[in-house]
Formats: sequence, structure tokens, C-alpha cells
Amino acid sequence: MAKLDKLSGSKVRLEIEVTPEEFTHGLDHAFDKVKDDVEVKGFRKGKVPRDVYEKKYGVESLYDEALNHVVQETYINAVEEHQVEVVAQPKIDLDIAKVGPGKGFTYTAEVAVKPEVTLGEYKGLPFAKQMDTVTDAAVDAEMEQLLTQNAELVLKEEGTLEQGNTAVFDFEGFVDGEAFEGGSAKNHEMEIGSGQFIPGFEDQMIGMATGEEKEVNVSFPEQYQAENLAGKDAMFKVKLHEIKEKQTPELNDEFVKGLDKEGISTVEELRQETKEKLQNELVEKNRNARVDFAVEKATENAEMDIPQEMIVDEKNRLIDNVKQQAKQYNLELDMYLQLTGTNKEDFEANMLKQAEKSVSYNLVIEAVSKEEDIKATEEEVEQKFEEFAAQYNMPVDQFKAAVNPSAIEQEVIYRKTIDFLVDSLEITE
Amino acid sequence: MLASEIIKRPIITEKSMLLVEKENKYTFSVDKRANKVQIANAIEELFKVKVVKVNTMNVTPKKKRVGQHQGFKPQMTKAIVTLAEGSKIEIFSA
Repeated sequence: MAKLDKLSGSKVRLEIEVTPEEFTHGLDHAFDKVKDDVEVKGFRKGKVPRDVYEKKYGVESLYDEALNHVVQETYINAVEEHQVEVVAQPKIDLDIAKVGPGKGFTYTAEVAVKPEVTLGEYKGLPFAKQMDTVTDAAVDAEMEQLLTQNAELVLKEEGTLEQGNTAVFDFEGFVDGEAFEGGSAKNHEMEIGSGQFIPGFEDQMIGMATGEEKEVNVSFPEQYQAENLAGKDAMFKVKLHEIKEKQTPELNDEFVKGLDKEGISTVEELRQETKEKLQNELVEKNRNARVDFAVEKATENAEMDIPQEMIVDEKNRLIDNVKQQAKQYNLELDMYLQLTGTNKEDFEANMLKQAEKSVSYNLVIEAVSKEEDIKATEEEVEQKFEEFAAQYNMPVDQFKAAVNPSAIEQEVIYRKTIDFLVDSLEITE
Repeated sequence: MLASEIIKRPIITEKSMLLVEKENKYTFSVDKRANKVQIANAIEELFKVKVVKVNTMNVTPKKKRVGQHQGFKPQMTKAIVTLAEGSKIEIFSA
């Protein structure tokens, strides 16, 4: 039997009564559990009678285990009795002094529950109209990029080295008149302006002609990876062998055929295909923006009191996800963070923010689906199963056995609710 | 001899517990000089119960070796005391 009190901050307090019978049962259970590990002289392991055990160790030694068992059982019953949607571990408050063999007692459990969401405005929110056609200019830019990507390096017979050209050259570096390790190479290829070398080096090479030799004076930056060189002046002897320049191909049918794309052999067709691709991307982008907007606004307008536990749980889940990802690259989390240029605190704070968002979004979407009575039909669930099965490359039957159908149903409802929210947006000019 | 000198200690093992449960027989370690009658009287006096029968046996000392030193477990006489129906000895309490 249990009594329910609502507390602030989406918490409830359950006052739970344990009957003497329940506690006796708990003690029996506890003894069953420990008896296999108890050794008493004169008895084989696991054969100690209950009273011999109690005489030697005292009934109290069974309390821990018994209380655990009893509390767990009665707590679950209480949660079921009151239909509480628990989202975290309960905080149990129990007065051990009241506990004794053959006696009943009461304890309280405080636990965070799923918060009640008071929805604000969520239907028919105003949303500025998005640009939904692809302009010719965008297509042109795309084509231009394609050409640059397919540019070829061609030997430049005449002229001097310019920005954007690629130089093939030997170099030998000296610091304080002495050659240093890693300071020389033969036939090195480098694009001028790529910033591969020490600042100033590439600039000084501009204007050199094929076959020319030159001395380039630069100083290493203070923050250089090789410590013995950092901040020092250096002289490089450079000999330029070849200059190559980029030649972008001309946009004609010949080029298009060279791309070897199926069903596309003319410039016109390529333009058409590019436009379609851009159009699809735009539609997707627009929809994502609408989804973000609709959900975000609905959440902003709703009121709820999310218990901290829920957010922390979600945060830990997100961090675990990142850990998994990092593992795929064979990295520890710390290493991964270093590589992505964040430290642990920023990362955790970031994850916390994300968790808060995703928890509140989910709650709002759930509330909306309840409010609007959005349900999933059997066919829709079936279809989702097939989709997922295809995604994971599993036969549908096998997938069905592995996954809880209610999870899939939830997923369907979730999707439908988002669709509902987006469709309800009032598009303004 | 005093009753408390004759009866040294109860023997509580799996086997002895089984005897208590099944046949109302209680096992003790007793002074080896005592005879069955003395044991019966001592038990009756100490635990206020009615004794029907006493069986005794000498437990031969087992050799025990600790490192290079040879020794023995102590000799003892074991007495299995059958009580009258309804009589019980609490220290076994099964």
C-alpha cells in the first residue's frame, strides 16, 4: 500500500508501507541468497541451517539484503499502483531503527517523474516564406566549381611564378650557416598560396623564372613545432625547376562525357541534373528549417518543469554516443576531444545544453501528439518496420523479433506529430 | 563429578543437527571418565529434560602436522543422548 504526494519540480513522494509478512519474506529471500557463501564449522558450504546462521551472525546481517529486496518489490508495486511515470532512480528514505523481524514499517521514496507539459501556442505559428526555386546563378556557380575541381596542371613554358601556380623546386635550408634536419628536399611540389611553408617563403618565390636560383630569407614563427628552430632566422637556397599552372577545362559536351555520368552526355543535360540536385537539396533544407522552427517555437511557448535527472540521463546518453563514435576511429574520448579542439568542460556543457533541448523537444512533441490524438495505424508501423529493417540490412521478421513494437509505434507517432506541426505553420509572404 | 564437568560442549554439525531433527538425539562432547548413567543424569540436571538412552563412543585422535612438528587433535568422547518425546534442548533449537 502506498500514498502519493506531489512535490514541486516534477517530483513525487511515495509513502510505502511494508507489512510484517512482506518483510519476513524479504528475510527469507536474503538468507537464500547469502547461505551459499556462508561457512560455519561443522557444516558444508551452503548447508548451514537458518537458526545456526542467525545465532552466529545475527538476524541484522540479513537486513541489508532483505530491505533491498523488499523496497525494490514494494516500490515497483507502488509505482504501478499510482501509474507514476518514473524517469530516474528514487531517493529512498528509511528509518532503520523501526525495522525488526516480524515487524512492518513504512518508508518514503522521492522520485523524479515525467513532467506535465502545459502547451502554449503550437498550431498555425507564422513562418516567413522560404525561397524555394533554384536560380540560374546558383547552377552557374555549381558548374564553375565542378570545372575548378577538374582543373589540370599544365607545364607553363614561359613567364614567371605567380600566385596559384604550382612550383617544382629543390631547396636547402640553413640556420646560422648550417644545414638542419628536414630543411632540404629535391623536386618538391607546392602550390603558391597554399600556405604549406613558413609565412613569407612562398611570397618571396613569386616572380621566379624556370631554372632560376634564389636565396630566400625567412624567420621561423615563435610557435613552430620543431622547438630548436622556433623563432630563428633561416636562409633557403631555392632552385626552381618547373612551373605548372592550373588550366580549367572548357565546359562543353566533350568535358561532360569525360565525367562519365550515366545518361548525361551534353552540357544541357548536366545543367538540368545539377539543377534538380540543387532543388532537392533546397527542399530538404527548407523542410529542416521548418521542422526546427516549429518544434523550437512550440517548446518555447510550452511550460514544463523538467527534473534535472532527466536531463543528466540524456546528457550521459549523448556522451556515450560520442564515445562510441570516437571508438570507431580507435580513439579515447579525451583524444577525440583534443582533436576536435574542445576541452572536457566545454564539451560537457555543450552536451548538457543539447540534452536539455532534446528532452524538452521530446516532451513537447509527446504532449502535442496526446493533445491532437495522433496515433499510429498498424500499416504505418508495419511500413516503419520494413524501413528500419532495410536500413539495418536485416530480414523484416528478424528485425521484428529484436525490436519492441511500441518503440516503433512511438517513432511513427513522433514523425507524424512533427509533420502535423510543420503542416500547421502559417506561411507568410 | 559435577554435571558441568561431565558435559563439555554440544557438537553442532550437519550430522548432529540431522539427528536432532529426525530422532530427537542430541550430541555432546563429554569427559572421557564419565559413564553413561552419569551422562544421563548430568544432561537431565543441566537442561531439565528426560533422557531415554545414552550412546557413547571414543573418538580417536587424528594425527595433525604443523610444519615439521607432529601432534594430535585432542581425544574426546562423544555421547549421543536420546531424549524422551517432547523434551528439547534449546541450544540446538532446530
